[in-house]
Amino acid sequence: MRVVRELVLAAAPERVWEVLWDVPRMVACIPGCLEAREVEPRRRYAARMSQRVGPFALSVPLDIRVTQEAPGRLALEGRGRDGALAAEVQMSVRLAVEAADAGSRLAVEAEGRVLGKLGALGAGVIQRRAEELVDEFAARLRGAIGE
Amino acid sequence: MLRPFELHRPSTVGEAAALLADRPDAALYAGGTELLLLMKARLVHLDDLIDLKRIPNLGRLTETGGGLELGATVTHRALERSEVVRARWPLVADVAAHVANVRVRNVGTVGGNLAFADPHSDLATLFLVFDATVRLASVTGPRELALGDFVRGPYETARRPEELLAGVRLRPWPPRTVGVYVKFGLYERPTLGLALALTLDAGERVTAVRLAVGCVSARPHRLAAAEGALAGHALGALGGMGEEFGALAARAIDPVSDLHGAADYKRELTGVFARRALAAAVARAEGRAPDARYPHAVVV
Repeated sequence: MRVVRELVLAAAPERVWEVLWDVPRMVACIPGCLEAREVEPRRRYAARMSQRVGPFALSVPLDIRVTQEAPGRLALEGRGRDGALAAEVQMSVRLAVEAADAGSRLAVEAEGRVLGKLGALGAGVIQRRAEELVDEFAARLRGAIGE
Repeated sequence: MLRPFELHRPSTVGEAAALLADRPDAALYAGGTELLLLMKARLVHLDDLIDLKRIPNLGRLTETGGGLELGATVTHRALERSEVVRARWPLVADVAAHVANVRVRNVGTVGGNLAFADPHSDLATLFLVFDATVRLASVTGPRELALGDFVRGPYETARRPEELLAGVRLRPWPPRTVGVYVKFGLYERPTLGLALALTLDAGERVTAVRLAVGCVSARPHRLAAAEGALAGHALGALGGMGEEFGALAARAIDPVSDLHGAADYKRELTGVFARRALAAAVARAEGRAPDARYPHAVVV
């Protein structure tokens, strides 16, 4: 699945950048992300994602690595496995913040794969859910930066 | 091997609702044709199952002035064999007769099919052209919803965790209505399901059109734009409108790519089968047998 979104935010890029690095606030912005902690500052994090679609419940401990950090640019890769469902999750997220008009523009590009039987069964569902997640993230992020 | 779980067997809807109120993570189960497969594949782990099969009220199939009332645990086979359904709701009986295979039809239920909301199934699509409403029960009281509002997306419905689906009501069509259901698929589950009903007046002019498409999008839905294109036309003119009708139907869907095919392919299929369904419905309205034999497709 792949989701690309561009958000226009009222806050300055520095402010958005600060919120993106604030772990507890980011946890609160990502639907289904129950916990996250810093393993190595600005390089490696551990998080747990839980998602439910109808009878299917997925709970994955994710190992997240920051693969690129440049001014206004951030790339992450996450990997994890739900042992009970034998499903493996791989994801990468690229974020770019730049100044725009009165505030900033945040480009989000998320790609992911769910492997295993669940991935085969839910191919159509996963794309849809990923889009909902990114849209909900955008709404919560607006709240977090105080729009 | 199934992992251990606790099986609850209520004998009334009230008992089932009380069990569910205490165990919001419990799964409701009747035929088990969907749920047990998932449990065996270890895709779903449950501690509590509430078996609805021993609730006599839920297994009833009755026709009233308001339509056909189907309890949630009425099986596909019961629908297929019921004399009332065969005589007065033949399209429903014919579609039921082509659900999966006879082993599934013997135990699989109408309520299970709707509540599980597998995108690749027939009943929700068919029932949309009967303006169906679903009845939900819970300890806080009953709730009734249009079927179109009940099915939210693949495997997702508007049923709240404490509610159980008690039944569905189909509304009768006006007099002089003909209906067709078409399904296409290379596998046991349909890749496309399409239901079309045309209502004519005494002058053989179309007064109402009902078109629902399922399996290709996140959820089955009616296609108002394509329906509107046929309204008001004479029956004799419909034969020449297949291309336009198909194109409108194809344009109106929001197809999802999955193992049954890519989104573009499903859009194409929708256009082709909307045209074919219209030809079959017109034939039926003219009193001819629809000459509708297509590979991997069922037309009833």
